[in-house]
Amino acid sequence: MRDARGGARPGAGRPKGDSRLYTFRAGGELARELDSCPNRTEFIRRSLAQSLTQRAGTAQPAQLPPPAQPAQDRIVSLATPASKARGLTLPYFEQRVVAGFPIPLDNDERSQDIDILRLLCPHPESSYLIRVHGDSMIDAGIESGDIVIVDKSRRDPSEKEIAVCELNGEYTLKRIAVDKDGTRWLVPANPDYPRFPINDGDAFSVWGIVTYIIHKARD
Amino acid sequence: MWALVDCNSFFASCEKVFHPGLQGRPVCVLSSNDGIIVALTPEAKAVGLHRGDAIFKVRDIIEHYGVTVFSTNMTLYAAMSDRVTGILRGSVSRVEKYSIDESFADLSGYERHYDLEEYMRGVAERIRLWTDIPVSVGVAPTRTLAKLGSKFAKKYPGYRSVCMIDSEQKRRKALELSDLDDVWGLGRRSCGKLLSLGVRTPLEFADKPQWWVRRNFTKPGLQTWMELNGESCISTEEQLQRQTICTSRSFGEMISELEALKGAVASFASSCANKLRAQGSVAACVSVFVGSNPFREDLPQYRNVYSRCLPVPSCDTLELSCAALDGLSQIWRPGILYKRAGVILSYISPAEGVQQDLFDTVCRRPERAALSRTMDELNRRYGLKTVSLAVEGEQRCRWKVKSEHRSGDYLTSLDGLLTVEI
Repeated sequence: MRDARGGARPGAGRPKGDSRLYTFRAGGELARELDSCPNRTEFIRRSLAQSLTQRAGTAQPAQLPPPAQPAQDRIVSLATPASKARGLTLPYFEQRVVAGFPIPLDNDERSQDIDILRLLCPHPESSYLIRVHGDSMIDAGIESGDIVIVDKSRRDPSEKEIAVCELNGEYTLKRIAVDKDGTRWLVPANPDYPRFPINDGDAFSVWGIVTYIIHKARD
Repeated sequence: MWALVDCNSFFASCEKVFHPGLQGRPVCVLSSNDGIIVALTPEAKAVGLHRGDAIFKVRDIIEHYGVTVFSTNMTLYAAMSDRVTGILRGSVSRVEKYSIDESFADLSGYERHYDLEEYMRGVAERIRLWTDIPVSVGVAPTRTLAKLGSKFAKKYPGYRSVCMIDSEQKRRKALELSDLDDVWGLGRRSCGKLLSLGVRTPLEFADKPQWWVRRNFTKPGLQTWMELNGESCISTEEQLQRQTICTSRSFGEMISELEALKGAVASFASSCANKLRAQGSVAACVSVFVGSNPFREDLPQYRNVYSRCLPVPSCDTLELSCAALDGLSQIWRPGILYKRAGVILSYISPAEGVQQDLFDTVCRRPERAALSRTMDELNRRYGLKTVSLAVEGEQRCRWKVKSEHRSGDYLTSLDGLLTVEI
């Protein structure tokens, strides 16, 4: 019980229905042919189906071929059409004389492809893509329609970093600056927009920090 | 030692990540077709909502408390789930994903180098930071006890996300304070049986002698008993080899024509076949069921189910759908407005070691298996339903599920990215 032995094995046992079990002995050539089949049941089934369809022409009822010597011959001859015959391969030893000094290509020196994803998202599990609309961060290089990569694993942006913030039930994307008197401000990167104080009563949190900006180069 | 990492109100938590202003607010997620509540935050529970409530019955509560409602978005939840498991795998090398919101982690060996409770607390904190999804962790000598521990960690904030059951005293205390139906492996039937035998808490069950358990229960019951007594014996794979696979839907609008139902049933059957192949199994029995709308008492009521056994267990989409469609034509009756249909596969066994039938009516099984594999690969590479059965296609719009509050595919589609106005 403890080592999970015993009990019912699904799919085991005699299949339901009015099937009958046949066993037969296969001689040398037939046995080798059968052994070379990846799926013997399928092979025998096909061979029989083929022989039954041939008999159907003579309007005889379907029956099993007798398990005698002639039957073996018939099965083998029916089951191996020319197209199925496998080619014979012989080992061929190649010895070539190399002139000059060989320069081996060391595996260590083979160049590695640059994995751009690894550069952009060092932690894929904490990186999120966000599309931005608006021009309040245009001087920070974020234009309308750009996609930014945001890392959630850090929530303590420096004054130079750009953070995705949640302020009173809305997401925004700004720098966060702290005054001498401790007041925090949301600072846009566009002189046309004012900075925004974060008051004590505000529901404010940092969602993540922008690590890269995906910006399509335009002409 | 085992750890169970369980995401708290997972679906609702996923939605909260991408919707601002929901912190501390009641949020619930509806089933496919927006019928019932399938997941909700503690805040939503506090205003009187429950898992399984029909949405039309609790509309007043939802409006009065301003509960935010989402339709199920499995694409988003699956992507978030992968992130959570990914972070866990970064910290523990042996992780078994048990369901979309639960994973088991094998901590054996880690106790030599770490304080397991603090270690898992660090993992839980990282998951919360990286994904904004709160998790509860149970740490215990067996999976069943670990699962029980995670329930305590979820219920009492004092545990700070991790509840470790590592002493006999803690084990007895945990079993005494739990309900029978909190125990992994004890379903409704087993619980009823235990109650009728006079066992009221998991502790009373665990304290029964082994012969008593053997006499009253079969192997799974005995395994649960052993696990509750601290002896690890259940494997996740064993639990995951599902006994039946079912896909069913209630329709957005009621359907009466056979042709439209066929489309739905074929689609359910091929979805079942996909799940079956994904777990490397075959099924020997295909059942199909249909039903009218039980809430419309003014209409004629009808429900029926038809099961067909396959000569050779199979996981072939074509064969399983044909069997399901054949069953449907047996039970379909004209003049009924159908609200619901589904396909169930049963007698599931591993795909290796299938008993073959010499006079199988399906020819070219190896080629058919290759066809199914190719379909799976195409759909994996180019998106779901790139290749599907013709019978599924045309009528799909008729029975398409209703999902009015579905959020975007924030993690899986460039067109669906979260958009922020700045």
